[in-house]
Amino acid sequence: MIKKQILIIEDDDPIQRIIKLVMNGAGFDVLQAHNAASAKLLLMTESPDLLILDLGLPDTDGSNLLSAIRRSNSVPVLVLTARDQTEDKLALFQIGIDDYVTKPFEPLELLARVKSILSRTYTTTGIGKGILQSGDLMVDLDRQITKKGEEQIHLSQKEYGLLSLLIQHEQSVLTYDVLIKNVWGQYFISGHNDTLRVTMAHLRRKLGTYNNNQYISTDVGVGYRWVVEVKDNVNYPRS
Amino acid sequence: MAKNSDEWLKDVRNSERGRLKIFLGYAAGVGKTYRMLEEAHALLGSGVDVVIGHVEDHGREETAQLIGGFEQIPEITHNSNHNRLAEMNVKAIIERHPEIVIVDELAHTNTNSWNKKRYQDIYEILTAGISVYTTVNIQHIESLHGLITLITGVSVQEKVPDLFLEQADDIELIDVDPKVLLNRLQAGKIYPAIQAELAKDNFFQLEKLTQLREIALQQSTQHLSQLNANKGQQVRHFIVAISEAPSSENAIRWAYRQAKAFGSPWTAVHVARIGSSVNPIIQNHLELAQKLGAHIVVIHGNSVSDTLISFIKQSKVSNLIIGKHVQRTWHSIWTSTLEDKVLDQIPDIDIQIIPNQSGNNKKKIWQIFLKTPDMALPRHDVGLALTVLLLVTALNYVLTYFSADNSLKIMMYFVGIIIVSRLTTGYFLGLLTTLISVFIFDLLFVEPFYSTTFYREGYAFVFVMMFITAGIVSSLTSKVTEQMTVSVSAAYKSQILSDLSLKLMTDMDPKKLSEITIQSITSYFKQDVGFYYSRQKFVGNKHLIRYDDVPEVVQWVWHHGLPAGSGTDTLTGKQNFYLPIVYQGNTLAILVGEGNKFNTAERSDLQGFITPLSLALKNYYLRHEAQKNAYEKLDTRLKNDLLQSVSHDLRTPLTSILASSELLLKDHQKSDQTTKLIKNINQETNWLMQMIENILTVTRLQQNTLELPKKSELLEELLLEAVDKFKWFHSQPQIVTNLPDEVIWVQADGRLFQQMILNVLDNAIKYGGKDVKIEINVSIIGEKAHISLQNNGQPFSKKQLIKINKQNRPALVEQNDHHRGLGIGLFLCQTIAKLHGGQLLASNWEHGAKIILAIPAELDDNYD
Repeated sequence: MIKKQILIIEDDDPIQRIIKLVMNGAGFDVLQAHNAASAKLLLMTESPDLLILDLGLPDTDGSNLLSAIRRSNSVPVLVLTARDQTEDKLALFQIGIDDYVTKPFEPLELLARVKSILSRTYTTTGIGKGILQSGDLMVDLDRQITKKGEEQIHLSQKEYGLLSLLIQHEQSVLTYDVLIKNVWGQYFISGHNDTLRVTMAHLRRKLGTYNNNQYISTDVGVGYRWVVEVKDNVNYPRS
Repeated sequence: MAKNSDEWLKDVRNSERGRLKIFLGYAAGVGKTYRMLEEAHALLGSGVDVVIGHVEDHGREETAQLIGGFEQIPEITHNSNHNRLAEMNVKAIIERHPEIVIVDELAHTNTNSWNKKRYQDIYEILTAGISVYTTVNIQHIESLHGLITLITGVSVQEKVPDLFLEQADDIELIDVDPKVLLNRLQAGKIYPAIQAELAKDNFFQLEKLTQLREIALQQSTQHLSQLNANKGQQVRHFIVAISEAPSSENAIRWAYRQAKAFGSPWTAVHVARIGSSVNPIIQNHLELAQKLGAHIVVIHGNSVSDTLISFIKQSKVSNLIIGKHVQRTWHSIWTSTLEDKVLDQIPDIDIQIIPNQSGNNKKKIWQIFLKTPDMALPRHDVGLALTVLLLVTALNYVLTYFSADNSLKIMMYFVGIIIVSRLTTGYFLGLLTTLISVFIFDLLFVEPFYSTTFYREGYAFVFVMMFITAGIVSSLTSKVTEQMTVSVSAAYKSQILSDLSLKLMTDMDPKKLSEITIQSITSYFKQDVGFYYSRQKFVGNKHLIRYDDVPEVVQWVWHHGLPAGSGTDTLTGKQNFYLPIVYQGNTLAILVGEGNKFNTAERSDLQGFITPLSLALKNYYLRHEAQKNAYEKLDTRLKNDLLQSVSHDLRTPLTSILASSELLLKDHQKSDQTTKLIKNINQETNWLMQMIENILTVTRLQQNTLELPKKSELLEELLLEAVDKFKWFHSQPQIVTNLPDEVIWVQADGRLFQQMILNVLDNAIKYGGKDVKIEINVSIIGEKAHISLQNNGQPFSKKQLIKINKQNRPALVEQNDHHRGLGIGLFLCQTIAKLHGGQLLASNWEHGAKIILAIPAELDDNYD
């Protein structure tokens, strides 16, 4: 099996080393760049499967580099940032990032996100079909049935729409806009997120917790993320 | 005031509901019915379908004649108490459906009809789409009833609600001089003779009538102003012409009341003769007008009417008010009156003429004669006239040797007269020279010489002709001179003012701006003035501010933005006057001048110089304000950028330390000692991280304490995200979060709110024992959400509880606390809670400590 290649663009050496350590440990090949210029050069000769981009680069702002890359390349990008303003995050999603991690971060958390993005990119078959299991939840995408343990959970259409979207994009942020477009339709007034948030709150109550953890984590002002591990195509006795 | 018939008709045809026009009078007999019928007649003549629903002629002949011209809808008659009573037939009118129906006496109470009141009848007719002309006297208006009863002592039973009057599309006031009305009454035109006696006792007294008239005028103007306000029409502007006549005072008061009723601006204008100073009577009048809120304008010109007309044309005045002597004088046969001239030139203006009520101030003819023209003859003018006369006579004497023809000599005298008229002021000297010329000519050059008699009969005629011609020439010439002076002085003033505006346009500080204005004023008025361009700083001649208690006055004027000092209503005793220059309620500067050097007219002229200065000062301050704001904005942006970069620079190394320690902890092939050390690194770094976040938060708070950028947020989302973040770095604690069934909204700054939760959680861990368990419960109590966070560790000490719960003091718990961070953390939490309108409360429960955050909240109740 060919190893997947990850380009780390980060000016801080210790962080470079840590990320490289973690990624190598997980079986990825790592390319390193310490500034935007060398990152651009590398991208001309190599074609990594994913970029980990720190926004605070010495020669240019990371978001500028991102825009430049996005003009010719659709490689998945995960952004590392010390800025945690909602507006900054939304702007990044607009340029076209796949996920972001705010500093300080936990290395294993970063690894989980990287894996999630890569799996999304390469295993798209079967989405929308079959049965998914996550924690004590079982979601039958064919029959649109959700069970917690042995008990069926009764979800409204919108609630189910959110659940199926999030669980199929395990570990990655789905922004308000994405969720609204897919669940409410594209003609729903954008920017009016209250309905989505309240629906999400009700969904959260119906799903309950798993080992005292929420299934869905919140990034206030940006979006939601399914955080409990999902198992694909489980054999579940159909009654 | 009133629309003409054509316009009215156009409106009638456009609207579905009939239109209502009310002819309003202040007493019986003013001619309401007559006027109404007259207008209806005009409409009838132009082909409009007008019928009479009900009109009473009160036995007046003219009225009866007019009624005859209309179709009348037969009235319903019935007998009551042996009287035959007739009532309008509403049904028949609606069936007949004319365009306009005439219904006299709006206030009438029906005796035996469907409706109790006539206005109800009229309302029905209007609703049917028929327009109505009707009449009413003001004493029948509900809201005025009390006032009029007080004035006249007579209470009327029949009243019309104001609301009905407000529905009128047009109210026409029939205004007649009370004296004329009294004359009519005596002539028996209003009531039959017996009624007249009765009426005289009650209503018909000059004084009462005058008051009633005033009320009626107000009523109609108020109605108009409402209409105009509704239709967004142009604002009225009243102008009152002021002379030294006593009637001016009445005219001013009248104009004030009118303008007030309309809520419109008004101006008092005085046309002064060229070169003459404004006399004290006019000064008084101008001051009165100023006190009543008028804008004062003094124009110099030699023809009152011409000057006034051009002023009115320019200023788009809608109403002119003039005071007038009612008595006609002999010379009124020759001259047309001021109002006639104005109307001739500006036909669409409304003119109100206010009579001189006291009547005791008639001018005697000799007074007029003595007063005009100027009797005070400047000496050098007299000398000039004498020299010219002497020269001409000498020249003529020489001429006698060459020719006996006297016509040449007459011509020579004419030249002399013209020269004198041209070079002297006024035409009096011109006339006098003419008289003397005729006399000398007769004496020296007409046979018999050296005698005032003459042989040839023709000379009598020649003398008269000479006198008349010379007189006309002389007065014309002097008028030309005056005119020139006017235009020269006006041109001078406008030149100075435009110079001033130009100079003030350059970028200068207030002191320089004031100095330039002082120069202009001094060169125009030949008087010293000064300016305070701030509360303390003065420019101008220092002698101005030697006497008065200047600082106090200046403080007062600056604060109130009102004029003070000599000639004003405040601190009248001061030697100086102090005029504030105000822009949008802010005093920009104060003009100081000597009270006795500027009269009211000149002070109004001063305004012309102040305006450019106030504009220049306003611009100066606006410019500076803009600059200051720009700096402040830049400052904030710089601070934000700095914060961003500092937080980036601080977080990056900490991130790597944290991440390294986390990775090392996952590696199990270590001695216990090493694990302990790494754990230490990890914990201390976490603490440092939290500390840095807190410091950054405090800095951010200081920047916008006043306006926290709050948004509607779901409480649980903020809470859960904070808990998630916390769990990343503290893997050991067990945190249980219990949400209520309700979905709760809070107004919050998400980051600060989470910072607050993180700090409380941090404390909960520090003070918790080993295997600490944290429980978070959210509940709604009243209008607040209570977030209670409790741990199972060491409870708060009494001292701590008191310190934390004392809301006014920052909860900086003991400095020697071996658990670092409690101080600033909880202090920050309290501050953030307060900024969200809530509070932080510390308490204990059976297994440990408990912090409750009470935050104003709202339940979501829109979910289906």
